[in-house]
Amino acid sequence: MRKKDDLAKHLPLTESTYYIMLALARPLHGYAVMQRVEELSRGTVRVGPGTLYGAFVALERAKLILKVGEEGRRKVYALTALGNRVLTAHADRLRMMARAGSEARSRR
Amino acid sequence: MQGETVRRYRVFFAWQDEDEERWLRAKARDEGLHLLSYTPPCVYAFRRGERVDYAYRLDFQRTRGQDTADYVQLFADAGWEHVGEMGSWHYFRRPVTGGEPPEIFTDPESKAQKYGRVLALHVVFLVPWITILNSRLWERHTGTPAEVLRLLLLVAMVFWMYSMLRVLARVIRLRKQAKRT
Repeated sequence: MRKKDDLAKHLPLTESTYYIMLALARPLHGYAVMQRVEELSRGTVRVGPGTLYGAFVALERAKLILKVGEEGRRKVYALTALGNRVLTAHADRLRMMARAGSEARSRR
Repeated sequence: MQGETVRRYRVFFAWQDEDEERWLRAKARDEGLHLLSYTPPCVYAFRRGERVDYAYRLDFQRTRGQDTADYVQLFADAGWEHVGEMGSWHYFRRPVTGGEPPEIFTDPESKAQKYGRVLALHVVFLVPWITILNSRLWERHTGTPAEVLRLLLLVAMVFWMYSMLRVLARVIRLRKQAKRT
């Protein structure tokens, strides 16, 4: 039960945070994350550097991501095991919402 | 003359950062004055050059050493020039290309967090301030100079709290906006 609560305090994720975490399925530095988010969202979500840096600080503090290396001055981050569980929980929730939405509308 | 350094004087408070951004943009676009440095409380040094439509953006972030290098690099990769830092306020600029000036915050949540950090600093400063005003020192030092000093400190603190409320209002408004989206 406690484990579930631990995940719950990180949820729901904002749209930007969700895509940032998705991008970090493989280790990336900040700018690569920005590009990957745009790619993953098919250009619908763009993350500015202020938003991204703030997300990095918050996610690192919550231990959802971890610094795994450096490329010159750029820090490289990756998702932690906890981050992965949070991401999965959020994705489940989104899937549920999408399914409920299409079911409710097809019944009309 | 091009290349010369000119100074302009203007006071902006913590909750007026967007006014400050607009003012800096107008200076660059209309007068060809490009920010070099800012010295509190009111001195802005500019280099005179060609007129350029620069969007200025302020972030509030406490960074140190390697963190700063990584932070500035991220903005540079995204096309933002780091002009300088003053007490955790970072000044960035980027030419405006077509239409709307670019933003460094792309959602209201992260923008609310920025003002949350500004608010936290206000609170931190309030603690020693209240301690000084409540100090027993005032009982031992009586007379007009001490009274005047105490009054000045009190007025400044009231103003500080006013600033806190303005920043808090910004945080609340942005959080509401975040809930709607």
